[in-house]
Amino acid sequence: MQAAAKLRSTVVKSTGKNFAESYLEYARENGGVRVDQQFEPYPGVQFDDETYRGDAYPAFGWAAAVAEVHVDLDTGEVSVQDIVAADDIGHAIHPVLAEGQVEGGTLQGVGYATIEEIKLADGRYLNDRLATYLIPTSLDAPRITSILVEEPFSGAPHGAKGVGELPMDVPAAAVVAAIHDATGAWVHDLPASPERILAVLHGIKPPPPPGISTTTPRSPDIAPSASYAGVPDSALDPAPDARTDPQPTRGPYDG
Amino acid sequence: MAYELNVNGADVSLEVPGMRRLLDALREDLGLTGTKEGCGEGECGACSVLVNGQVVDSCLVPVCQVDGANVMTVEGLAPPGSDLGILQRSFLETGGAQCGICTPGMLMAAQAYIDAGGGTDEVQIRTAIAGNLCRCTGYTKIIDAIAMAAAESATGLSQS
Repeated sequence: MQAAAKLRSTVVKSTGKNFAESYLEYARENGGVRVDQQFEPYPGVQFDDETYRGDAYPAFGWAAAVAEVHVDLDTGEVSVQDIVAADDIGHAIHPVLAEGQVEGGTLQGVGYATIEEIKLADGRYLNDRLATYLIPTSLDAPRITSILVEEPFSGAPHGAKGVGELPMDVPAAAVVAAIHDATGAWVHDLPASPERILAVLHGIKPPPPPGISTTTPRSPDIAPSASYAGVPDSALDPAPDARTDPQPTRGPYDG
Repeated sequence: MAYELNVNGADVSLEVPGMRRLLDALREDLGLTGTKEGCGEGECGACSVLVNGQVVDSCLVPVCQVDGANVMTVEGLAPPGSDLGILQRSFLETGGAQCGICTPGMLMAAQAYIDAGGGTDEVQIRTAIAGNLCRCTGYTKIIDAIAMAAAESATGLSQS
């Protein structure tokens, strides 16, 4: 914002005219204007990167969520029946869109809690498309009740604090707490998938945490041996795998 | 060969390879860019259009399969010079459209639901749009919008 103000005043000072009327003329005669400006902490707010003490931001939003779940004790499947999210976003500039942001973020949090899991093997995504990386459909989604809490922040336009990320932060904790309330099982990794819930309920080893790349063992018949001496390692890679390798995108006339 | 079809009430002739995706024919050959490509593999429903009143993923339909068919895209909900349709107005009013990538497909799935006499029941609406993924609204306002349009359509029918 400061950089934009400096750019504007540079042009106005040079032409002595209104910016909107003179910027084209200025650009024709002088070319571009360059202004450098870097991030400055909000006045009075300090954060120490060495000790992690202080405030990183001048204003903090707060959020809470309550979830109601059904857990099938035979299959371990969780169905989120209802969820209420209350978010302190400062001031809702457009209340309907702000509610939509809260509802959308809440459902992303529910997906994160129940079904969404990035799976990796050899550092590559196993589920890099919507056929394999599942997100909630309208039938998986609970009805979401959003409550906008307005505690305006004096230092921002209209008192707004922000609403984009905040609603995603709490629903997963609410869903996991509801699963504990229903079954007595605390699930420690997300998503709280049937495998993880049944593992806790039956005291068996749960699947590994998400997002950790597993290594596919090479099959013995292509393992390096004396007869492969001198062959570069890359030549021993397994054949391309339709599930994991990037697929060619379709051109307009492919068929 | 040329494929003859009716798109949003107008007869069109498409001189394209038969396996060209309906999605590409609509967007690139006919300039109807309201229909969006999401996943391109029939998972997300963003490219939904109506073929003879049925919701289809236009990324999975080759042009040769719609020879002689009636196709309706999101542009057909509000032809040039006319006001927005009931569904579009209710999406605007309830906040059913956010980032917009799912909206054209949602509107078409909802249009098919309302055309089939669908009402305001939430479970039925959720089932009707179960093939259309939305990442950013949480579906709640989309469902409110469809219920609002269904109620208005039902009133309109009983009055006429």
